[in-house]
Amino acid sequence: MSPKALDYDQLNENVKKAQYAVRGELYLRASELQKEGKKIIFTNVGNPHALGQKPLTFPRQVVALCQAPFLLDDPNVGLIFPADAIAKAKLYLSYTSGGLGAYSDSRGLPGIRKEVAEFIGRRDGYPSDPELIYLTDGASKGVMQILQTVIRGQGDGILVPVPQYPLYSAAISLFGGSLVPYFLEESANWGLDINNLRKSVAEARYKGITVRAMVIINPGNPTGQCLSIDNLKEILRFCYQENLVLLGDEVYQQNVYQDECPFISSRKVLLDMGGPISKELQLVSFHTVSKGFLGECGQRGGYFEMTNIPPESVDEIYKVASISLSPNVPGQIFMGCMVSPPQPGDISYAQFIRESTGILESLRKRAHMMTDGFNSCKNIVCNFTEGAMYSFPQVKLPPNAIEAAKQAGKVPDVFYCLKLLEATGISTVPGSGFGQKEGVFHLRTTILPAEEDMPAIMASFKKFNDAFMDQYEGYSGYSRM
Amino acid sequence: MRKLVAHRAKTLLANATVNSLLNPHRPSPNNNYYYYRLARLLTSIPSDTSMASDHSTPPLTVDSLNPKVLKCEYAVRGEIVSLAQKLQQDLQANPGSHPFEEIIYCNIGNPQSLGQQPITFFREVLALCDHPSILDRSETQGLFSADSIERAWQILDQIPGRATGAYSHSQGIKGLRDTIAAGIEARDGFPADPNDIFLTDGASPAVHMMMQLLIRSENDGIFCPIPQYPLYSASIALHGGTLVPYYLDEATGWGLEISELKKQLEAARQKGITVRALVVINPGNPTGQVLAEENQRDIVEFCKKEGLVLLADEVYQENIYVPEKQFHSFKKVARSMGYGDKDIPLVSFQSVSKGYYGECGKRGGYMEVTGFSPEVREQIYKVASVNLCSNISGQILASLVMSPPKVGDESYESYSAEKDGILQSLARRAKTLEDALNSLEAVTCNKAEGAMYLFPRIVFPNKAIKEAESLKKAPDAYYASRLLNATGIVVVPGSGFGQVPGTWHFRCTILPQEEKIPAIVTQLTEFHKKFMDEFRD
Repeated sequence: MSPKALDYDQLNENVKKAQYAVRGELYLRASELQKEGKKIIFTNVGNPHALGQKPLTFPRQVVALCQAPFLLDDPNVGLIFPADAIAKAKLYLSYTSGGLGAYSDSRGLPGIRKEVAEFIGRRDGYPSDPELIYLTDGASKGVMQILQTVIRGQGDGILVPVPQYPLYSAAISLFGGSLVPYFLEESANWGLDINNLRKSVAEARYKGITVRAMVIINPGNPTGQCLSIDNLKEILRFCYQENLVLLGDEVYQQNVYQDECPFISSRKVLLDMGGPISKELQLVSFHTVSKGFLGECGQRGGYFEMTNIPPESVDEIYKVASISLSPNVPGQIFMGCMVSPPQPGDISYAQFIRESTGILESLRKRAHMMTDGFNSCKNIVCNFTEGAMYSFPQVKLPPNAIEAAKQAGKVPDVFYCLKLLEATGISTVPGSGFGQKEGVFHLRTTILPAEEDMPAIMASFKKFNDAFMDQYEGYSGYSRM
Repeated sequence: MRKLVAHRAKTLLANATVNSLLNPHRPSPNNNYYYYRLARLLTSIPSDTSMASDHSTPPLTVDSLNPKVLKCEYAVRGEIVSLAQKLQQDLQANPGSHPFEEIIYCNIGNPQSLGQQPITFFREVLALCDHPSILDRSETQGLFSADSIERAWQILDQIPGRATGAYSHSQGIKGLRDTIAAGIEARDGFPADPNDIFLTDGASPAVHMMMQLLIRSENDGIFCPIPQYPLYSASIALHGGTLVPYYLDEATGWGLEISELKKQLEAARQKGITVRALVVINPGNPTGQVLAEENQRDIVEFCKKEGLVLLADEVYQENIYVPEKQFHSFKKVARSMGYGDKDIPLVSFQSVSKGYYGECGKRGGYMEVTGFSPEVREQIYKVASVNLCSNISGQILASLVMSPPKVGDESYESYSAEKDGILQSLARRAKTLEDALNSLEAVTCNKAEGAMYLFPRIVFPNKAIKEAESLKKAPDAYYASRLLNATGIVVVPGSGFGQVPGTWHFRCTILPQEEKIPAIVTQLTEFHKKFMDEFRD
């Protein structure tokens, strides 16, 4: 019988090659166990609301009013919606032609993009052009669009940090490009060593790969490190010298848990440098409503900002955006609420401050609790989560465990994480999903479980880990003979 | 925006010359204008990927972009729209600067941007799901209908933690998929499996996913109707495949002939193309025809026999304006022929953007994927998971569309009145515009049995064709820009959709509000008469 179009071996190879561990084997197993009635703590994905974080009130009020504009005509609307939310909803509806149900401009509503530009201007001290800001259904869609534009074929390489958020490796696979890894230094707090970069690029070129772009994730995912100004300058100079477009994934810019290294945008550092580089270095910066203190993952709201991209290329990017017609409008409203929050004097200001600082302070505490909890295990070394939402401890596995994993046909960290899941219900993502040095194992967990649950979770983890180590480290009791 | 348009206008002239060098037999298709004709030049030059890094050419210049991006085109938001936006700005700055008061966008199926109202019940439920904390307040009962409150509770109970801001399952919230599956079953009389459903940000991303899965190289072909909605041609180009056209027959109301399919399939195979799938848009866009059930059975048989995946774009399933035609989903047709899940791979696309709900900006939709092996399904799931999930509000809306208020529900009567009002008005507008177009000299227009568009054919006098050529435009693009400049009405030239070579069309939506239609008809009629007077042979 002749092969059918959708037989497995007839599929696009690029699809088959792509991997995305965040919702891969561990997550699927966790979902199975959950269906069987086991209590699962999902720490596999940066999904704050799924772990009890509450949405901020003001944006929800604004979007609800935009969804149901007939409420605005009801004399009783003021009973359950504050006046500033009502005013904001009216403002945002005026940005649209036809409300939330009409396709907007393919780049997003001009009014919202202007607010995003103003936010960037306040943040960085340099004006930003709304025409070069495109709203997208989540930052991921924006990343995919840009990578699709850059990757022509297998001969094109994209520099990606290892460990990395696997959207990048998956997207590069899907578009048929080559991933060029550069290793972050775990012993230097996941710092970026420019020599590692040079080495990676040289190796790639030797193989005949044209390196086209460099991805930085700042603050890092899964690693959490915040890049210093010096580091950023080095990176910018490097990209300029090597003719790379810099892709700055800055979705965690509002998640910073130490004060020594605050977030500085790549664009600000670039513009501060002045001179030709500031006018020529090509940069695309990404942001989202999914992280920060908003945590509105389900809304799919994001944007990318282009710096020094030639107009003809911008037009091509616009063209591709127009094929999908427009990003979802409610997500754009959330973006507006994120970049233009309540101001001092507004009715909702106090509540906004209380809710947002509450979340950020708690995240900071939990970052410490988790790091300390992991470090209290003798076979685990965990860098502090300087930013983002994850903890990425290094787990030293004894040779017997590695052997047992091999017997079970599993990569060692997958083996460990599956056992952790079955014993405790804690669903993590094995480090191999993000990339790591050969023979070194990690797992990624989020710092998102509720503060009051943290001590129990870390205790449960430690209990499992110590039992695992007893089981596999030498022969328990024999080694003392 | 003006800067962008001016810049494009400059390069337009420069690139038009390049294009006419490459394609001496074709007038420059500026109707799709947006896209630099440099693309044609560049795709014919092999890119040198082993070039060492060169300081003088920064990475993101147009000649070093992915050629598939350069090649793809999407006319619906192309040049004519940029021109319209410029004119709109003129009018705002300087009322009276043009012989019309406003721009009327008839280029895109975007009902609510032209005044169509959303369905109240749907918006009530969505607002409550967006801000669930008001469900605990007694005042809420006074502001929302009781059944919308009940439905919101029901939906929230299906979402873990009632967290509408959390990423959901990558196929979409299970409870909502259950509702949609039940809705499909109620519609078709055949069961649907919630695990076959993938909720997406509108139907378009689902189409992209299937193209990505199916296209391995340019030797893989996807059968598309001509004329077609240019998402398909663009998506095939983006994924590096080959579009294999099958021509709909204008003379028989845009009929789909199996003989044409066979002929084109054979021709493609001769060229070494493996045809992987057949796209059918039913009801049709831009053509508006609703397939007869017998025709659908022939198509199903054809796909089965030739081993093609049937990609059924059914987003206009609730837009049918003629009593003699009904929507039958391809799944229903296949199942009623006795073909089960194991017999035929079939993907059905649905959206919240059309119908009577017209919720384009919400980006809600789904594909129902049947007849695929579990291994292939895993791959689809994997691709969906890279984007984590589609927007939750859109997912909720998709479930509401597939399971609206029923007889006996508090909101049923008002819902029903809103729905019937919109659909009846659409039917009236379709007829009025169709009659108006058919009354124009040298214009014939097939009936819009469904969807939201009219696709009239104009037989241009030679003088008009020559004038267009001298301006390096296709005749239908020239006509569209003259129409816009004279009346403010924006339509999309037929070349954006594909047409039999040497024929010319434009696509116009039926969406302007009913009270505006008479004026539109008058303006169009007057313009057309003047145009024909100017160019009549």
